[in-house]
Formats: sequence, structure tokens, C-alpha cells
Amino acid sequence: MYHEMSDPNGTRPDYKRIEQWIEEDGVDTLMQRRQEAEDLFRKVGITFAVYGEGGDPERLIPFDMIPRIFTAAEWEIVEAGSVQRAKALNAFLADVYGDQKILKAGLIPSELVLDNPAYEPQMVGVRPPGDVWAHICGIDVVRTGPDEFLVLEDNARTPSGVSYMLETREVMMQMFPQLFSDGKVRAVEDYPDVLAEAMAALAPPRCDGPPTLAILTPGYFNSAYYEHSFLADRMGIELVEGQDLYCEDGHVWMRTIRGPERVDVIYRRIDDAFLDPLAFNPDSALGVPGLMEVYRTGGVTLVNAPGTGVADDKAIYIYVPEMIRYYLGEEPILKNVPTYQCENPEECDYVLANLDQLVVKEVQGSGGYGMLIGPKATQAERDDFSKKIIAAPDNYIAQPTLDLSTAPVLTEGGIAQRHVDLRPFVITGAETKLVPGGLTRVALREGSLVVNSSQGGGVKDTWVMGGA
Amino acid sequence: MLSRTAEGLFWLGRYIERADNVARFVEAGRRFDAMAGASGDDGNEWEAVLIAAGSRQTFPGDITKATAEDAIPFMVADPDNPSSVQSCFAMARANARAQRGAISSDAWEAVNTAWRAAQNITPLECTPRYLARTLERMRTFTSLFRGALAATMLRDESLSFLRLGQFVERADATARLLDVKYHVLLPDDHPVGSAKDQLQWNTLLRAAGARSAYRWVYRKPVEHRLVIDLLLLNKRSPRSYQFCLNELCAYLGTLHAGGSASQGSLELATQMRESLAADDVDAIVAHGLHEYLTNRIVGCNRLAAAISTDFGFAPILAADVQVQTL
Repeated sequence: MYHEMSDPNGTRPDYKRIEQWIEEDGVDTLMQRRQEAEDLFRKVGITFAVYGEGGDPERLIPFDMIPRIFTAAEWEIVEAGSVQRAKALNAFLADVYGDQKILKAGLIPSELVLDNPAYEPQMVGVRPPGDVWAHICGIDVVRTGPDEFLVLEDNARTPSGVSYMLETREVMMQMFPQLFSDGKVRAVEDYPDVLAEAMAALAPPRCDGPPTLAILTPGYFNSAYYEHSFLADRMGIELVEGQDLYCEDGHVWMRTIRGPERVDVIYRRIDDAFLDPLAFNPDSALGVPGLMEVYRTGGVTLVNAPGTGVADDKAIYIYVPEMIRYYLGEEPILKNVPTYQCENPEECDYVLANLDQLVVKEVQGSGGYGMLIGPKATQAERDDFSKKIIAAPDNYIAQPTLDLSTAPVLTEGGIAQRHVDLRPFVITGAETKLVPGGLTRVALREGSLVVNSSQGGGVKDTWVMGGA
Repeated sequence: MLSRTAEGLFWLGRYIERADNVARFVEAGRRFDAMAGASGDDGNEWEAVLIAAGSRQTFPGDITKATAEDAIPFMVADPDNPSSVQSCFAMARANARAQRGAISSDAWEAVNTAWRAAQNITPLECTPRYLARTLERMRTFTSLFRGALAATMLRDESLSFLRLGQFVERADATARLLDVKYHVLLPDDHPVGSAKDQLQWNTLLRAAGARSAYRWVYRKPVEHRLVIDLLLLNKRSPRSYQFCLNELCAYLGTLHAGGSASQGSLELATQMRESLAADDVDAIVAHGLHEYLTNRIVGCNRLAAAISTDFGFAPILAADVQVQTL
């Protein structure tokens, strides 16, 4: 098992300052200061409501104060690999809603794409500005060895969590300024500016003059609302709800105290199905009637484009390395986790016979719901899950349980090792880039491999060290 | 600015101000209560306070028999009472959270901190022994919020809408606070001008936080005509109805200068201000203070409705515009 902080020869160089800090302050003092950190999070109001779990909507995601560190060299791999992946996913989306060359070349089975529930027929033939589809991609990366970084899944719809990247840093800098005093940790705070710049670069054809940007939120009751308002604030743009917008004369307008104002680029944080009751779910009260018509005719840019879900589908995932080779002519920098597709009878048999060694996921699921972790499950749970797989094999994929790297966390019993992953946020505007950081999620239960915040995972500050 | 944002800020301003004023009403009740106990007569001060706070319909049980034991928790920490101090902070926070991007971090943190504290008020903190401290603590949060606005908000539209809400609410509350006196009917053996009457006016002054102001302005013992003058007509007292109207006219003037669908609110506010400037205390008393105050409260509601029309607020406001039973 790979330990992020140390190897058999001792603490890794970039973690030396962490080791020294823990030694000087002492675990007990740090444990006491956890309350202080929690107060800071509550004070800014960063909370997370968990879908389907009920309970406290003002719950905090647990925060572990020990940062997760990437050396400059490690980050080069993650950065180049994530950017490469985001480029390939965008090329794939442009292709499957355009000429469908990759399907005609037989590299990906047509039905897997065209019959996919996330494939959006209304987007066929649409060319978004710059041919950018997934402007914001969250690439979930895990580590199994010194230079072994694997992609666990892609998030091309509306990935959330970036506010945690920014706020955990804010809290750490406030509580432990001495850790940052030498300026070696690279800053993440310009993320909102990078995003705004990318959006402004992709104004729709009918926009004259500087584009007006806005974030479209489902509203106050959405679990990620804090993030929506936080980003709007930092980007200096309006946070709108569907009720604030209407379509007229081929443009989208927002209702303001001075009358209507045109909106040109919308970073929408509502799902495709709710965007426009005239085009999708007719019952949606969250969306804007007529939005899709304005979009298709070049009156507004939507970030991300509708229909991007087909690129982060778990059944499509296994073809991403192939996409990279096909569209970019490069070898994938980040590898995929080996994946078995249950719809393929031979692979399904293998999965059923080896359930105790595999993680089984729903193709359409997200957030760690509806999954089975074979080695941790009881025989009865595995038997139950087998029935589900047999009943609907298309719905499931399976992966070997990975020996994920661990990072130190503070616990009542002292420093302990827990598994971590990383979600960097790749932004595509005029070019594709990555802010040096991301959301490090940590499984807080001992031995647990599930880092999703909806499953009791926590977050850490992520440090990317500057070069020598 | 989005109309919805303007509306949220307007209500944020109102609810913080309302929290402050409800705490003042309770403070007045607490002092009346203490007086009644001392003189041994059975006053109905809690009914008066509840009516002034607009809770005639929402108070569970017989309001004429309201006591400190049921009125205080109801007004301070009852989540089912929409105008309890706790509910006001909850509504303020909901509006602040929905408009997080339009207020400064300091202002947000002030509201969020207030909300958390108000959620955690214990029954013990609503007992006479701790009530004064609890009220003071709650009112400190509203000062913190006003201070955060003053020190950290840009002088722009956001602040203007917060201020509109604040001053509409304060004008309304000042009229209601004065009206408490009408509802605290003096028993026959305590005529107007008696020691007890004097004490009651004094209590209202204290609840309005205007006792020192009174001394500085008039340099006389407390006299009901002068209390009415200070709280309604005085241009320098920040709690007076006149002061609130002046502020409202100024903010509406700035907002309307930038263009709006209609001008109704500015016209109405100007008209209300001019009409008030023509009034004097003797005429008000001769006319009947209670009736005069009722008209002022109705005026506030009309003004709030005109603001909502001018700036495209959702028609939600209509429900609140109904004049509560006075």
C-alpha cells in the first residue's frame, strides 16, 4: 500500500513541514483546533445536504486538517493526464453529436452511445461555440503507487465540490499561516477568474459586445447551493433561478429592478432534464421555457452543454483510452481502472463468480449510491446483489478493489491512515487548463474505500508544490 | 440587479430590524410587568405587547390572559410564531443565504451567527432571571449586522434595498411601539400624568433606546407629548417615523434615478413625509393618538407594496401587506 506521507526510508521531503508542524503543535492541540476549523466552516456557511438521507441540511462535510500534498513532478502527471482526458471527452462529444466518426470506425459500439439514456438526440447537429461541450470536467483520480495514477471516473455534467477546494485552503491559511509563509504551496484562488474568462471566451454568435455571464441554480434548497452562490460571488456575476429568466426575440433575459437585461453565457447547475420544460421534462419549474430553442439558434451558450452525460457514463468510461488515441493521437497519461461490463455474458459470469473481490457499480449511479464493495459485504449482501445483476446485467459494471493510497488523518486515537482520492477541475474555454489543486476526498472510516461525501467521506486541503 | 435579489435584500433588512424590534417589545413588556408587580395591580401589559407585535391572531390561547410565562417564549424563541425573534433571524438568514452573493462576507457572517445563536435559545434563557441578558444578546446581533453593512457594503443598490427594508420596518415598529401605550389601559385610579403614566412612557422610551436622546433634546422630565414628538416627528432621532421617511425618500430617490418601471413608491414616500412634517404633537393628541398611529402603520404597508411594484418583486408581498389587526 502506498503511503502519501512516508516511505520505508521515512517522511517524504514535501511532507517534512507537516511532520514538523504536527510534532510542534501536538496531536492533542490539533484535535482541539478541529472545533475551530468547524466553526470557521459554519461561519461562512459551507454545508452539505445529502440527497435522500434526510437529516440535517446544515451538516458539514468533515474536514481533516492534514493537507494532501502533490510534488511538482507528481502534479505534472495529474495535470497533463486530466487535461488530455478532458480534451478527448470534448472531442468525443463533438463527434457523437456530429459526424460520429468514432462509431463509424467501429471503435465504440454505436448502440452503447446512441441508445444510452444520457445521449441527447436534441443535441444532434448542434455546434456549441468553440465546439466546447464539457467546459468543466471533474476527473476523479486515485493512486496505487509512486507514479501510478488511475482515473476512477469522469464527471462531465455539472461536477460539484470546487468551493471546498477554495474554502479548505482559506481555512488552512487562516488557522496555520506559518505553513504557507515560504510561498511554496501553489495558489488556487484564481479558479473563479479562470472560469469566468473561459465562459467569456465562448460567447454565442448573436452576442455583440462583452458577454453577460450568469450562474443558473435550482435554488436555495439544492444541496450545492452554497457553491453556486459562492462562485457567483467570486466571479462577480448574477446567480439566477429559472424564474428570473425568460426567452424573447432569440435571446435570454433576466428580470432586474431596471427591467430586462440580456444574458449571453449561462453556467447552469441544473440537470439537462430540468433546463427547459418545452424541450425536456414538461413538469420542470426550475428551468426556462424556450431556452433550448435560443441555445440551438446561437442566442446563448450553456456551460456545460446538454447531453454531456454520455461522456461520463460508466459504460463509456472503458473507451476513454481509445478516445485519447483516436482523437489526440496520444497514449493515455492516466490509466483506467480495469472494468468488467456485466452486459457481456462472459464478463458477467466472471463478476458473479468473483463478487468477493470486486466493486460493483450501477452504470447510471453516482455519489456512491447503489454500489457493492465485495470484500466488505456479507455473503447475504453479495447474494442479494447477484440477483440484481442477473436481473439487469446492462446496469452494472465491476472493478477490482484497488489498493488506494493512504494519507494521514487526525483521529481521537492519534494519526491514522485513510484512503484518499482527488477530483481536479479541468476548465475548457479558449484553451484547456487546470488550477493547481482539487478536491481531496478522504474515507474517514478505517479501511473504507468510499470517499463520497454522501457516504461519510471527508475533505482535505490539497497542496501542489511549486517547482524547485 | 435581479428583482428577486432586490426583494430578498429588502426582506433581509426587514427581518433583522424586526428581530430587533420584537426584542424591544419584549423588553417593554418585561419592564411593564415588573412595574405591575411592584404596584400590585393586575395589568394586561403582555396582551398590549402581543397586539403591538402583530400577534393577535397567531398567539395560541386567550390573549387577554397572556402572562410572562407564555408570552415571552412565544415572542422570543417559538419557531411556530412567524414573528418571534428566533423566526425573524431564521427568515433573515434564509433571505441572506438566497442572496449570499449580494451581501458582504461580514454581513453574511453576522446573520449566520445570529441565526445559530437564536436557534439555540433555551427555555431557561426565556425566564425572567435571564431574559434581559438574552434580549440584549439578540439585539447585539442586529447591531453587528448594521455595523457590518455600514463598514463593509458598497454604497450601491444592494445596500439601498437593505436600507429600504430596514426603515420601512422601523417606521412601522416605532408606530406600533408607541401604540403599546394605547393598549396598556390605565386603571381609573392612575390618571394621565400620574406617576404610573409617567413610568409607562419612560418604559417606552427605554424600549426605543431613546431615553438619553430624550434628555439631550428636551432637558425635561418625561412628558407624553415630548415622547410622541421624539418618536414620531423629530428629524434627528434615528428611530423616529420622520427620520425613517427621510431615509426612505433618500434611498428611493437614488434607486429611481437609475430608472425603474414606475415611480409610485418615491411619490408616496415624499407625500407621507410632507404630510408628517405638517403635523404637530397637539394636533396628533387631539386627533387621537391610536387612530393616528393606525394610519401611519397602514402608510408603511402601502409604501412596501409600492416598492414591490416599482422594482418587480414577486406578488408574494401582497399577503404581508394586509394590515394586521391593531
